Parts: sequence; structure tokens; C-alpha cells
Amino acid sequence: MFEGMRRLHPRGPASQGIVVDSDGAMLGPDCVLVRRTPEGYHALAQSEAGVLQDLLLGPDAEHDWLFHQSRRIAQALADDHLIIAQILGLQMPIGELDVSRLKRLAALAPVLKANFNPDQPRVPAGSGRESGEWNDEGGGSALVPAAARRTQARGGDPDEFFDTVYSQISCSGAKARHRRDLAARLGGA
Amino acid sequence: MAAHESWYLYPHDRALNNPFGVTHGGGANVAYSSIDAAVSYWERRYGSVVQGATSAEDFVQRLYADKYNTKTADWSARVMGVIQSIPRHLASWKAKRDI
Repeated sequence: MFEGMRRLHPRGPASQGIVVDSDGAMLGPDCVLVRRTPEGYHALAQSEAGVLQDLLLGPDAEHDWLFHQSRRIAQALADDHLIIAQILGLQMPIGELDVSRLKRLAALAPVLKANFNPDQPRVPAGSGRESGEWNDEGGGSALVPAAARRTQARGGDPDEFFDTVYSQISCSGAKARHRRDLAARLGGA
Repeated sequence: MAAHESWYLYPHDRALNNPFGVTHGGGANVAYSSIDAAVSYWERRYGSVVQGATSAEDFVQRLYADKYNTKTADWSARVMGVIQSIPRHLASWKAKRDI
């Protein structure tokens, strides 16, 4: 009768689900939702939570739900209410993570780690990575594009895209030169 | 090309600094330390393939011939569609930014 019930997982490399303990909250062994730091508990950033939500909950979930839930967990832990934090964790509609989703979370983990406060420790337990480590930056021979590209149901904002690639109006000096160089290298004017 | 492969830097690709949708052998997407790092990789890997291309069609066909995407049957047409839409989006962006 308990097979269909959600459960919390112990922290560590064998974790296949949601972890909520006094050190924070995680998804699987690699993906940190809430981190304990000397200054308190920190939830991951809104944009990164959005990426995770798209991956795990799909397009029908309430906008920014995972972000707000992570913040609620962080607040409960900060208030020393571990049980409430764990109940909040159990409210996440995420069951056992299969191998495919664990791999995708592991791929995202370095990005998510990078967007916590860089002055804080950045290595979650069981990650097996060094602080701030990124995935291969292209030097590996196994990097090939788009052979099994995911289906994307929606796109980003063209204006933000052009801001990133071309924008010269909000920066000057070396940054502007860098932007111009980047635009040229990407094929722009 | 980047607009197509990242869908205008869809948040997932933006978070990974991956404008070209590069994957680990067709698996998980690669994360770069910066967009500049992603561009540098792409230049090293595909610069020679597209160098000297005489048109957008030529550019896309060279990549297609190099098996840039073997999964999507109409990949070339899709990329061309995005490339052809760029002037419109770019004009809109310039107008909004008063450029």
C-alpha cells in the first residue's frame, strides 16, 4: 500500500529522489535546491529553478512553483523546522528519479552550483566534483552537436538573444569590444 | 544558427552558455563557462567546415553534409527558416533599443 507514496531519500550518491535534511535540500545526488551556508540557508536562483521545473514538472506546473517551494523549504530550515521543511519537500510532485533524469540533473548541477553565492561553499555532498567545476568546455572528442537534440516546445526571447549577442548600448570599453567581437564571430554585423 | 539551435537562448541553453546546442555525443547538453567559450569550441570544430560559404544555404548544407544533425529529417529547412526570420527580429530589436 505504500508503493505509490512519495518518500524522502537519504543524502548521498545513491539518492534517487528528494532529500531534505539539516544541510539543505537536493534532487538526487547532484542537484542542490537549498544549501546551508555559514550565513544561513540559500535557495537556488529563480532562473535555475525555472530550468529544473521545466525538466521535472513539465509545462503545466504553476509558474515558478519550484522556486517558491525551494524558498519555503529554506525558510523552514532557517526557522529550525526540519519536519515542516521535509513536508514541503514531499509536496514536490517528483517520485523516484530514473536514470535518464538523474543524468540530466547531473549535467545541470555545475550550472546550478555556479549560480549560488560564489563566496559560499559550492560542493554538495556526493557530487564527486570540485567546487565550481564545469562540464567539458569543448576539448573532449565526444562533443558533437544535436545528434539527439531534445524537442523544444518553446523558445527564448529574441530581444534577449540579441541583447546577449549584439548589445553595445549598455556597456563600454573592453566589454563593448568583446560584444562586438562575439557578434562578429556568431555571424552578426 | 545559434538562434535555431538554442531557440534564441532558451533558458536551459542560456544557463548552460550553450548557444549551439552542443551535446555530449547526442546525450546531455554541454555546459560552457561562457558563451565566448562555446563560440571558441564551435570555431575550432566547425570553422573549417563553413569557411568560405557563399550563402546561408551553402553554410547550412556544409554543416548538414558534416552530419551536424542526423536526427531531425528537415533540419536544414528549419535552420533556413530561422535564418530568414532573423532580419525581422533584428529590426524589431533595433527599433526597441533605438539603434
